[in-house]
Amino acid sequence: MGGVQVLEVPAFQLAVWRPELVLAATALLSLAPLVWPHLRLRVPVMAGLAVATGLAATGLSTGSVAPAGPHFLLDGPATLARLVVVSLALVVQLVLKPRDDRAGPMLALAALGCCLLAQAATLGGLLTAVAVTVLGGGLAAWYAGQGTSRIAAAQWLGAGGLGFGVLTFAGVLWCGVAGTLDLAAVAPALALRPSLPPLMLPILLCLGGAGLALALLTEPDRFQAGDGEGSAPVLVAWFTLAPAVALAALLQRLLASAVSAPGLTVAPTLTVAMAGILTVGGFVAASAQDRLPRRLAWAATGQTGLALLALVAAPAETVVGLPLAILMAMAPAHMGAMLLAGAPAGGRWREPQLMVLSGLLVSLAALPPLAGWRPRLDLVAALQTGDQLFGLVVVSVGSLLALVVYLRPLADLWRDLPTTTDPRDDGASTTSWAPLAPTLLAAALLAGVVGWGLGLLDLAALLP
Amino acid sequence: MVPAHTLSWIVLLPLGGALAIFWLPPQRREAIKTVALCTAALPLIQSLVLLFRFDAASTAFQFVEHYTWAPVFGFEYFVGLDGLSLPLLVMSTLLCFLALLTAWSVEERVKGFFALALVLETGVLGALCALDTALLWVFWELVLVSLFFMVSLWGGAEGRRAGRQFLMLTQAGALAMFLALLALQQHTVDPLTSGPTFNLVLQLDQANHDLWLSGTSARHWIFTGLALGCGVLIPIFPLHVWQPRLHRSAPMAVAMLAAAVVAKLGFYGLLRMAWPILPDAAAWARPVLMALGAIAAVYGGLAALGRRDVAVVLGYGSFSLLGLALVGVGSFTLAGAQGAGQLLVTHGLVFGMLYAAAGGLLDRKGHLDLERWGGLYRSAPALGALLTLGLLAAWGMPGLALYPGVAMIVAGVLSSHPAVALACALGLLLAAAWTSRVVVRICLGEPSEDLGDVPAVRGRELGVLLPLAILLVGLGVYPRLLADLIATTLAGLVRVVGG
Repeated sequence: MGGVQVLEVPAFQLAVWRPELVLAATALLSLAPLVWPHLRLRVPVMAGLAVATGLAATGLSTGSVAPAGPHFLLDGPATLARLVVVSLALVVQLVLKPRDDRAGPMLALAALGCCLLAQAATLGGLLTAVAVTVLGGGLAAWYAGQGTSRIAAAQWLGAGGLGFGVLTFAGVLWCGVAGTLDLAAVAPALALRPSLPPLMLPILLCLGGAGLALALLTEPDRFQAGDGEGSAPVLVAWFTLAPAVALAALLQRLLASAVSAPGLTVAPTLTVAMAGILTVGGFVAASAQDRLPRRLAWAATGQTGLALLALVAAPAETVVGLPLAILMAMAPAHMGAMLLAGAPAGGRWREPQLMVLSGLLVSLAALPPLAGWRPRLDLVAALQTGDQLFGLVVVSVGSLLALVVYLRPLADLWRDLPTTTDPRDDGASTTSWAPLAPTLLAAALLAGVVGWGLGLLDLAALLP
Repeated sequence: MVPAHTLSWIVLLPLGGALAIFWLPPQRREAIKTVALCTAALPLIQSLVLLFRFDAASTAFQFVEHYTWAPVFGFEYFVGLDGLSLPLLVMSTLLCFLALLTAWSVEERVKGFFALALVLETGVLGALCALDTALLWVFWELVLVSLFFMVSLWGGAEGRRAGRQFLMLTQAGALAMFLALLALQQHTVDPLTSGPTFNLVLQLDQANHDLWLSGTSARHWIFTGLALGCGVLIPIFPLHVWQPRLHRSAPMAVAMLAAAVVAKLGFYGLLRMAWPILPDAAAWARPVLMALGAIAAVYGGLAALGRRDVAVVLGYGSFSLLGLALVGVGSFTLAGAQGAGQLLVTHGLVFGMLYAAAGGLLDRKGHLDLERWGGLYRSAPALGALLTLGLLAAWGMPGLALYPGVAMIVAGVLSSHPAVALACALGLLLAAAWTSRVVVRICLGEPSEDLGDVPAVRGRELGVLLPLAILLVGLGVYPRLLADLIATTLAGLVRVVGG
């Protein structure tokens, strides 16, 4: 366990050595309001969750490798993904303020599922993680929303259940043929059987299908801020990102093991085609949206396509972690933008909010020197090195569409910003200023985005 | 002795000013404008200091600052100046300062406008100083994005479309350039680390290119990518489609920055990266680029003759003259290259002056329709005289700043490419025609009744136009002021490309 920094604080030690236990405990604790609906533990529960998960995330962020459990494995990608998932869940919990106390705990459960998903080492672990994620996410959406949001939650649960079934079927078939339940050993085992390479196609289809289900079936259109509280867009952001980041971490590790198996291919044509459809389709759908939350939600699908594309570019050892890096760079910016998009003050934007939003959207558009452009640069470099012409075309088209998607609403918002200089006329005295928490949180996320873009932060260095 | 980090201060001060502006309350418009103007004045003063400290006889980069930025990605903060970038830097700081003065009449979203103008200035200055291609690309994007917002937000109803069109085209070009720069980076070996590098100085040394980059096909593709990225910003025919709408819709200060400052970045990119790093590919593309330059010279002149909006006329006129500069660059002769170098600087001064004057016209009547103007000599004689001087300079009149550059370009291509020289001459003839048309329609005749409530002479207008007028005359009468500065660097460039 060299390199692990342990302070003489029991809770911290626990967080470092067994972060999943801490997460599980906090998730179980947070289930209390479900059992006893009148229990008003919201503030302490949230505080406890924040502290515990924060400690867990801190322990994870040291890059330490905890003892590998029978079902789950902590390594660089999983560590990084957990850090993102937990951080984003904290942000959502702080901002969400759902009318139903049960939404927050359910979100914690979904976060736990995502963390487990990122570190799944066996088929059983993978299926458990997917089940927890789907259940937690669906219930969180159900409790947080009403009307169309509840329909979307039901769809999420249905689609998640379907995905779970397909994954179970494919996983059993796949592990049965390979003769092992160890996910990292499956691909090399299949590679040793020359008659079986075609099986890579259904494997990829299943994995890709699961990713698609998670990314697309959140039904961005339905999670609108129709209730005026602005909470739904943040949930959408979480649903879009957290499972995708976790899945990327899992795929990253599986891919790393597959790369070491001679003769194994990753079906690049199929993957690039899927990535192309996701990227172009997502950004085109986003550009057609008038409302910013919808636009961002669909654009996240386009970004997920770029991360998928990175899987094809990634096999070389130099770019391991690229899909994860793309999603990692996108996650804080997207979440921050969603925070703001769902909560303009009294329905009207203020200058500081727009400034923060501008920084976040520019990062999402992958313009330098913010966080988004560095993974994009790596992606293009990797595709160039691998002579992936079609991949380059997808990135090029996607990047141009992304500019329209992200920058056009910015121009419109700035244009529509009230220009009156009389404080009595601009509504400042009649409407409350922006919900401060979302703006401050978004600003903090922007600080991270800027720091990453300028090279001051380097989370990707945690990757092996 | 130049104080340490002067170049970094020049580049980053405007950005600091932009950040400072955002802390000011929006009601304090005059304070915002004053802060912006003072911030823009500092780089101007500092660049003038560098101008006097610059050793024009040296081909090496001077005032160099070199730091590691993000070693994981191979980025460096590496800046410096030579005889090509310094004149453009001084011109840019001057024009940015004057553009802010021209924009004094902007009353809508003042904070955003002046902050974005300063961000754009940082982008331009940074791109001119960068000696690391990744850094250059970062500043390049800063320019494109800030210009997009300025056009979209202050461009009226048509501005949105103009901004979108500008963004899509220039970003497509920037993407092509980005791919080319990445390919260059991956196939240039840093002798110290044996790894890839964005270091421009190392990329200029052909010995650092690996086997792949030595292949003809690869070099042609990379050159094409760089030429597309730069060409769309110049703009080269037929990539100029964004230009007329932008000039028609944008405020005059923005049009001034776009035509006089930002367009030069395209040329600078060609001369700084594409030409010297890939000289053989430049030779391969030379006929095409010269032909496109000649077409632009004639087409721009014809289009300027056929338009009624003064801003659009000026836009096409600028396009036509930049076509001449492209011909000069493509000629691979010392005279042609030096002429182009001079033209780039003087073109900025001339069109900076013309757009500033057009801003004065717009303030007086609220429109720039040639058919509805007249009598400027009577209503505002000083403005009329300065506008006429600028138009005469744009025509290439001997004794004014543009003439030496234009004459050298034509002389440079006359013997080797007489047909191109003929096209250039035709372009100049058309320039004489469109400038005369503007003078006749705007300045002569009786003033109409719909003049706004603007005095005949405004101090701010004179503050913008007079320095430019003095420079136009000064550089026309004594062109060596500029020629000596750029001669050594351009001679070195011509040697590299084998002219």
